[in-house]
Amino acid sequence: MGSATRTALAGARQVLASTPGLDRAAGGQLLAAARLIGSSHGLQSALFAADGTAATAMRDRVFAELSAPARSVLESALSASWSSSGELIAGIEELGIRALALTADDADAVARELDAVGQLVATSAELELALSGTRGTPESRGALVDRLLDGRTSPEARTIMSHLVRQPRGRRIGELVRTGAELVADAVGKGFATVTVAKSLTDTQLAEVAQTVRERYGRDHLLVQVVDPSVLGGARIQVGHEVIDGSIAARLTDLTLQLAR
Amino acid sequence: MAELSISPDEIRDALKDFANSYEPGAVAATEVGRVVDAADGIAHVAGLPSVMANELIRFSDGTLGLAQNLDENEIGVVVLGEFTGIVEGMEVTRTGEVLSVPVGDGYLGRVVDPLGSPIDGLGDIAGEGRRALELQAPGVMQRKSVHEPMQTGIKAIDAMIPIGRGQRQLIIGDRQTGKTAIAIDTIINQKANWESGDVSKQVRCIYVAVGQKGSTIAAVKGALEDAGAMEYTTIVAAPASDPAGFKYLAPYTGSAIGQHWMYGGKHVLIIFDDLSKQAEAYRAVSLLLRRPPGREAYPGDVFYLHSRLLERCAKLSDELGAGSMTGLPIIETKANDVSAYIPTNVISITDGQIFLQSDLFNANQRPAVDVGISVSRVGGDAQVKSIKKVSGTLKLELAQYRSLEAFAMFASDLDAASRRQLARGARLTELLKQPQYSPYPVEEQVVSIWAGTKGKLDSIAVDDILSFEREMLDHLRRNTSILTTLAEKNVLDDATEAELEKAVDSFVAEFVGGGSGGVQAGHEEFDETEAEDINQEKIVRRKR
Repeated sequence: MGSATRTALAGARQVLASTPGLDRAAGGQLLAAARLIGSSHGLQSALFAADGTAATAMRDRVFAELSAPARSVLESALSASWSSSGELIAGIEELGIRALALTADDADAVARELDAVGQLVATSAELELALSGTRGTPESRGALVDRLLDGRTSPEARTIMSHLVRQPRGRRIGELVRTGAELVADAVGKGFATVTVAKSLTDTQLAEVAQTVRERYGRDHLLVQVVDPSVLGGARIQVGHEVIDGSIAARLTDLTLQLAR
Repeated sequence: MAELSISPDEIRDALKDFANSYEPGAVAATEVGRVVDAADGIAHVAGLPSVMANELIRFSDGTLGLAQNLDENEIGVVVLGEFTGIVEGMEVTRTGEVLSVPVGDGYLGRVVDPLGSPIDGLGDIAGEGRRALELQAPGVMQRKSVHEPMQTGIKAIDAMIPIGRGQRQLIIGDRQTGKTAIAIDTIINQKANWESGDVSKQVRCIYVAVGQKGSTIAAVKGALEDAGAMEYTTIVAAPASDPAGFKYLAPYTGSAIGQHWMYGGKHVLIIFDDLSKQAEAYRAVSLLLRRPPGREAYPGDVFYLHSRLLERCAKLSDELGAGSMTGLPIIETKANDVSAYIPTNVISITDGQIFLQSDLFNANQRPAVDVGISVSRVGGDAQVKSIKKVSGTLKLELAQYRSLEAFAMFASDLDAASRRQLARGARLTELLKQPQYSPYPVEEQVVSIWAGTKGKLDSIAVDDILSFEREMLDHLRRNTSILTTLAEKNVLDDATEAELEKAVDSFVAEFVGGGSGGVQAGHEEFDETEAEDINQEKIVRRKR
């Protein structure tokens, strides 16, 4: 990510936080705008390069259907300068997901639902292939997600998932889901951590883990618990790309490697 | 002898204790990534965002890998070791270590793999620390000009293409022209220096075998052991069966082991046998990593691959202990084509080259050094005074001989001067022949070449030159002190030269050629009988 992108993104986030009247529809419209820009190279280069009155006129025509709050957020993003057009699309997508997280009744639940979808996809190879972007059109993938999640998750989680599979931008499904969940958690000021244990943790134990993670990373984390008997005991906490592995399984593997040496 | 029996219970208890003694250490946060794909010794890994270039990473089955391509979303990893166990989705962790090898005097006399682990079955090597494989070569202010000789013990090289300590001298030629033989002879020739026990004379040797046949490496080790040269030599072996990643790393491993000694103020000789195979291994790795191919499909940084390796061979300044590392890279050409990509690259990096010609080799001129096109750009300053004095005219006479020889092929009618020149050249060429594994000490080289250039051999038949030389040296060793004087002073002064002239002249007078030089079977000679002394028997008819 270039420094121009960082500055532009920080500015756009502030605009997003201060925009009045933001609602769920606005978030969905931002994601749709990201898809629209991503699907047309001509539009991308025009938006990326052009400036002045002609550019404003063009934006007015292209994004006429957007609601006022969505339009103001998008306008702030488009008027900033970005390192590349790819990063501009990623930025608009992020703004859309953040908007949905901010307007959701329970952002934590949305993040958990996204993570649950990720785990569900991982258990079904057929579904993973269908959503991985090599089969079908973006629309059919989106329709598949809409049908599967309709009524089972919050509308925010469904909108985010549906957008991500329609425009994966080269990312694999696992990474897509994780990015989505992390963005939602980050929008409400939390980190996102997965705790893998052999048996469900009690509330006290969870509080202890939360405390450890808070001390280490300096902010509250949304803890998602995964029960996997193969870790045998202890816990394995993953935050972003980092893993704190205190599980019995990891120690046994370590011991096996030492014995083999 | 009592049979060894250990009860299963005992073994179990011992293992239990071993397991109990295991300390997991404090659980630290490590970065993890996942294998995206793996094939042909290369794996792509997603994740590990803060991995360093050339960092060692560990796959969950314990196999190590080397991070090479750091892309936006994934990294390309060269697997160091068995790659059949690496599967998609496997977890990969960082080690935080840049690739390094243990170094120290424990490596002398050992055979190791490119990760520095012993493969000769002689047990662990006690290291004196570790040294990273990729360290910057010494800078301008840390160096000094090359001024001490590195004797190869080969007359043709020490006289005309001298090598100094800290020089990079390329040995280049087709297959089967004796490239390795020159390198091995040079190692064997360091034996006297090693036995002197004087650190300023001793040379620690490293032989890096890249992509060689296992049998060849074993033969080299056998030859060094027979000559008693293994005790000051380390062999870094990456045989042809090793994965490309190992072959590409082996020269850097050898260099790291040598640099440790060099920075410790010692002298090191390192032989890279051969760099064309290393370049091929690097090409394989690069193509599998999807780096764009350039000329002959080598990647763009193949020049840097060799230049950064050979730049680490240096003569260090006095402040840094005046250690040195002499590099003898070997390049194999195809059909004597030295203008191919890798040969031209390495020729331009090194301080000179020794060309070996297959024609000379087949004409029984061994070592098959083509002295006409071989050069040494810095070695002259490092040459011993005595040999410098005698070899001045040698190169000139040989050059004249070669040009004249071409004429003489067509014209048999030559004037006496040309015939003399041709005879002298034939004898000098013959004198430069030398069998394998028999390096000459410098004083013997001085005497031989002096005798050749002063015309002392002109009266000896060409076929007898080598036996004459052998016997002359033997005669001088037994009857005079010239060789010991030369060895001690390293200068051929007028007094020694006069004494030498006298001794050699007297030996030439009494030398009998014909191979054996022993007593020859003679033949009797008789004077013709005078006519009057001859009586003829006559048949006379007697009257009755």
